[in-house]
Amino acid sequence: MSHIGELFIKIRLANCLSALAELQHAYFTCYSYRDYFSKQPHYENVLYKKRSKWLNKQNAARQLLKNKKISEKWHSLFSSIDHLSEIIFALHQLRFREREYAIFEICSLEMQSVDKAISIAMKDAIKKLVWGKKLNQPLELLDSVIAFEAISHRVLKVTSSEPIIFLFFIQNLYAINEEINKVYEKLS
Amino acid sequence: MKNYLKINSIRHTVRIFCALVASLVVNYYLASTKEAWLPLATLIVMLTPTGSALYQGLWRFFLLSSAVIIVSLIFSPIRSLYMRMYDVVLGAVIGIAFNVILFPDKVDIEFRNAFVPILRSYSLYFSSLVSLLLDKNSIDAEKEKVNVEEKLMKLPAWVYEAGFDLTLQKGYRYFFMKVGQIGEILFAMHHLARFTYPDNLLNTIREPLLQCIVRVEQFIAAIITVLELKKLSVKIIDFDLELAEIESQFKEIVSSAMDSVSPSTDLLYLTEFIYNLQELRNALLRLTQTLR
Repeated sequence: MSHIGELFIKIRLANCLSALAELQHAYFTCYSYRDYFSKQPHYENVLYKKRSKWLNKQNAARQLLKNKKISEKWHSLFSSIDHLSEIIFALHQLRFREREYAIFEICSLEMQSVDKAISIAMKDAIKKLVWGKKLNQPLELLDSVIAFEAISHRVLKVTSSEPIIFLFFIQNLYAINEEINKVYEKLS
Repeated sequence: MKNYLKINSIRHTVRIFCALVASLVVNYYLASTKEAWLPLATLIVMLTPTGSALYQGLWRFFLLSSAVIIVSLIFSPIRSLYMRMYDVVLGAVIGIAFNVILFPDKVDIEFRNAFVPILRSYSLYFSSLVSLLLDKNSIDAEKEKVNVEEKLMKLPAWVYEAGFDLTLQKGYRYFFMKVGQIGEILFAMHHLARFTYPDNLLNTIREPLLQCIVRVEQFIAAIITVLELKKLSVKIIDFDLELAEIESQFKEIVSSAMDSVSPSTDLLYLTEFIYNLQELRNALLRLTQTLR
């Protein structure tokens, strides 16, 4: 595989990660809109555009990886990004499950810090992929997940009409943390 | 020829071609400048998405007029502005009139046809996910996932365009949103089905879960039949009984474990899978309700 060919793959995978980071941020933003439930089709249109962008980038990367000469390393990295996207979809089923805005208001700070930590972790992965920047484990992400779990145990379990959905949410946050760690390992 | 004219893109192309011929004739006899502003205006106001020809046509006319006014005021005498605007107005009238009157968009048919492929791929994807969960058959699931992703990129996003028919807007956008939601539920289930669960857990729900595949296929086939405006040969059969059976059998095993402070990951994941199955049913029911 030529150096230019490898650079091309890196750029496609970075585009994929970048679109996924944008999509996950857009999902988290929904929880902060007071009128999300009354204007759901409008906000879902914004999400649809972000999702389409991600699908396009994902498809472009997949087309490139169809070449049999490409190293297994890139296939493995793409699988991790693909799995990461599935976890993000699983995570944000929350917006269809919990329809009480007040619940999201209670944990808005924790939500924002989780969103920020995931975005930073993904952006760092992009920098490593394209520029070869040194990576540290995303400890900030794990901390923010633990903080969310704490508020969930203290408040959300009592206030939410269906506490189990927050158990699912936390489980998926841990899964994201694990998958991002796998991406980091594959990049190092 | 009649069949070709049922395809919206061909209707649009024919419309544009006829309008351009008309505008070239008018340009030859009536245009005040020979700078081709008239056919250009016709073409620009006709490049509209499905279902919003009038609004988007007027909007494009407004943008083109603004551009002509600004450019003419800066670079040429005021007299040529009047002449150009005369041509632009004439061209826009021809374009909008052809776009609205000649072979207008068949929004309803276009919308219905656009969802058939994605619903078919959802049905196949769902059965491959159950196969992944029960038998660890990941090849089919990956293949069907790619198929779903390709179809998701072709959804009729024009229902969200400004100026889309107000009477259809709400229902169509809701349907669009629900179809997108089903895709997300299936992607979420893919993540959960990747996990390896103990055989005793899977065996408790195997039979009703396999039955669910048949029901979901029947459900989606019925929705497609309605979308294709054909008569339903059999009544839509809900899969609430299968779901209830899965829940009751699953609860027997896990009720004590779920009450603990931190239930194990596999239990939680499988519970979420079943929860997603219920949400899939709810979303499919919503789709059928919007079709009534």
